[in-house]
Amino acid sequence: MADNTIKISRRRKILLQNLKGYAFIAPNYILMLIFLAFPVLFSFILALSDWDLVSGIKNIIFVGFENFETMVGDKWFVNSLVNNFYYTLTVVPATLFLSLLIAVLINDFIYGKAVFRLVIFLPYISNIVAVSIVWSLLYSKFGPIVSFLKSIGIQNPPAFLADRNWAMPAIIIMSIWISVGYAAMIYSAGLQGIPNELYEASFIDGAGWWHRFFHITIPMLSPTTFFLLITSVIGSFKVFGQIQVMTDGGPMGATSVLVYYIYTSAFKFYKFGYASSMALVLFVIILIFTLIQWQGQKKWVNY
Amino acid sequence: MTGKNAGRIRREISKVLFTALMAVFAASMLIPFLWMISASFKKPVDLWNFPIDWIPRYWYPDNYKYVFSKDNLILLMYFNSIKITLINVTGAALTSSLAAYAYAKMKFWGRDFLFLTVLATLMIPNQVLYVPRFIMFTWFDKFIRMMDSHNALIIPGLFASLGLFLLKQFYMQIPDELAESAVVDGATDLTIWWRIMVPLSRPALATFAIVVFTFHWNDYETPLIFLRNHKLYTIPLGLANFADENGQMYHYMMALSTLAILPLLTVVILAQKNFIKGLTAGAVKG
Repeated sequence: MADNTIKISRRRKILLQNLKGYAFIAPNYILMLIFLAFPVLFSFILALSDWDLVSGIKNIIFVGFENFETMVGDKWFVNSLVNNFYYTLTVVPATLFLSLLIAVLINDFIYGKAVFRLVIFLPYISNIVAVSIVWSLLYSKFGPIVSFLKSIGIQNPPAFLADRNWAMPAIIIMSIWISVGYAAMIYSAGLQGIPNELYEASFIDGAGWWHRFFHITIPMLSPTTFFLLITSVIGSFKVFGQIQVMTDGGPMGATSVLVYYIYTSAFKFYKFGYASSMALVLFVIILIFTLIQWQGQKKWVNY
Repeated sequence: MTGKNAGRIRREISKVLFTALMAVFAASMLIPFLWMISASFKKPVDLWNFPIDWIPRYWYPDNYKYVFSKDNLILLMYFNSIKITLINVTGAALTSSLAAYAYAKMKFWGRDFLFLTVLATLMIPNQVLYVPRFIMFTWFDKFIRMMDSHNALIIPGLFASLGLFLLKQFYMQIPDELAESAVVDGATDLTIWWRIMVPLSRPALATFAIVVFTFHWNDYETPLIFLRNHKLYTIPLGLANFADENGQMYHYMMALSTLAILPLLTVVILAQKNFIKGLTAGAVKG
């Protein structure tokens, strides 16, 4: 009898314990279900359908994988994807190389390290719209960059953002300017994590600076490089703000990238089904890199 | 002896040289900002002078006067941005730390699985969510105003998976004995969370706040998609819209851009240590 009541009260206690746990996570979890889990599942359905907002949800037409077939033949989509790869393959290596160089220089040879790290970091936290507007003026026809090029004797400087071949490089240079300070900051953190004993040992062996750079610094920084590589690639596939503000994807689609094309398809032309299927392509690209990163992190932790 | 000394002097000289080199580089990184500030004080006719007058020939504060007077544009933008980010930072901190405490310290059925499902959402890029959310919000409009309303930015912003992860890691490091002694004194989980965990986790909460704040303060895409009414515009959207509507008024644009950028830069420079720690920590955690 007494045994039984103890059991029941224990059970009740456990039940209460569970309920309390659920109550604590509930606000966070319910928000996640409504604003992340459901939209993602919904976007899978949308991706398989042909639908625009005006028709109402009852008139949604399922078309299977037609959207994905359309994509392959859609020259604007292919163009945006190619532009995106162009952007990724230039911005990411340039940013990593420059930021490593800067971080090592600051770490080894410079007075007033903190000030320099901070100064080159400022573009990264500045509002993307504001810096895009400023750079549009810098690049403009009467702007300081063109004037400077003329002053050093270049007769016909390019019309940067208005030129098909120069618009993308112009945006790339500006994007490197934005991200290099951030990457240098992460590299600096990585450099500070390298144990001093390694360098001291090489001093005793009489190794020079270059030797230490290639045989200690670079290998010891490889987890940082790996992390920056993956996150920069992911970031480069999400680029949008500077494109939308500076060129609107032009001239003639020369700077249209994946997210920009998704955005115009969805919110300019209201092709919600098609836009969702392209967003899924973006999702898969990012997912692949995320998985590589998680896999890699496991490896790096155990080296 | 002298050889050693010579080596040291050589090192010092090269350090000075490299510092000078880096100073030139850092200054060139600042050129866009300096040009912006200088242009914001210029008359339109002086804007394109070359060589650049870094110090304006005529100081022309009217640009700022105009920006402040026009429909209270800048004040409204600031009010909206501050309102949205403040609610998001405090709201997301509350929901996340509450949940993080439960995941770290409480026992309930399915805990680890549920946490894993939240963690998985880190992989979802925001861009995938815009279209389905847009449609959902038109449905929600019948119950609560979402479209063309700050709610579209605020309510989803109350969830932050990265913050949850950061805080959970932090709570796991806090020894159980602390909470246990409180239980002996008759404290409930809610008081333990509020009286012990939240005060202890102030550094983690600061990091969290910085990550969430910077994201929402600079977010351009979400307001671009969900807001139409100019009175609701945040700083980034208001700025982009101003640039669209005033195509040739570059001097005004530069004044507005300066006002949009400078306050945050000032905060960052003043609180640089916390800020950098926050952003790099957020980055390292994915």
